[in-house]
Amino acid sequence: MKILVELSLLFVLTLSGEAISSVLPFSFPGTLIAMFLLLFLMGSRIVKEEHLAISSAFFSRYMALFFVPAGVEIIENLEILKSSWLPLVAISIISLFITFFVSAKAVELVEAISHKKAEEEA
Amino acid sequence: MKELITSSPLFGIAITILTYYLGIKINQKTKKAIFNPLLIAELLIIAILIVFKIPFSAYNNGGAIINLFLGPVTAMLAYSIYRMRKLVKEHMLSIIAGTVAGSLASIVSIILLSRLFGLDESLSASLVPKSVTAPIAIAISTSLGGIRSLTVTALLLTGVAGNILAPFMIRLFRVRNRIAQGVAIGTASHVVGTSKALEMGEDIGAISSIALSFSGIITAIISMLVL
Repeated sequence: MKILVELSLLFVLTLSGEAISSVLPFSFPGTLIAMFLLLFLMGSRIVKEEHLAISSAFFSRYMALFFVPAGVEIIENLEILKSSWLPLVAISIISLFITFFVSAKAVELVEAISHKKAEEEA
Repeated sequence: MKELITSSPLFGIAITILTYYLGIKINQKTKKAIFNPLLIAELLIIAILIVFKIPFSAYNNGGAIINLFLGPVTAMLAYSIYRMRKLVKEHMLSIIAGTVAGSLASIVSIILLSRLFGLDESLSASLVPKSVTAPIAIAISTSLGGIRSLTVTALLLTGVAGNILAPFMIRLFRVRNRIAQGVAIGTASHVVGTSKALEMGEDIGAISSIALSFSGIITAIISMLVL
């Protein structure tokens, strides 16, 4: 029974996110609205952790499964990939490394500064 | 007979779950990052479709149903963020700094690299949003004049690469701070990378989840204002 309640909650939330997204004056994805909605509901204790315990364990364990069909869609782009796969792959991978490096180091920098401040205050 | 089986939504659902299960088994046996369950499942399905000459549209009758679950799965990220709310609040400044710097680095590096490789406008516009979560990326790509399906391809490529390479990049760049690890994974490789972050620990997963939503918003704002 509990799993039915959990799934209803999740699907109603996602649908609400889509509904809100469709009336916004700018484009913003419904799934992220649903995420912030759930965060708000949990923060205000309307939805409690145990309300989503079973489905969250399943979804976070096997999350990657749900990306499989979107990835298979690559097959629709074989023509473009055939002619320019090298730059596309190279740019994707190189910029992945650059983005990862810059954001990690930015966080480490801020963390180091705030540590120093905390120590000076102490 | 073949059409009857392959055009049923059950076909797409069955081979998606089956190949993903095989992917997990192979991954557990080999314990190698390159044998990533997501990558194995995708390659196996693509191979099946090509070998048996099954059109993507037939597979996608079932694939679209699994794809539909991405909504609830993404919304569910709020659960991890909530459980780790103390950690997220404490490090909010670092998370914002990391996502802003990372999003800028992503956009600038893609534009420069596209020029370097001599890609045309529509190809580079398709690549610009490839580090952010799919729904935002598609919206950005369309408004910049990119090709939707190519954006999805580059996005998945980046996500899967991030999923596989995250532990390697953490060692390569000596990122010891777990907050930095989470922010970098979420900013550089969106939800697909975040699924790896969740495997590495709920704290990293929660930070990565909040980072992916911030970087999506920031990338959208930058591309609307500047590009």
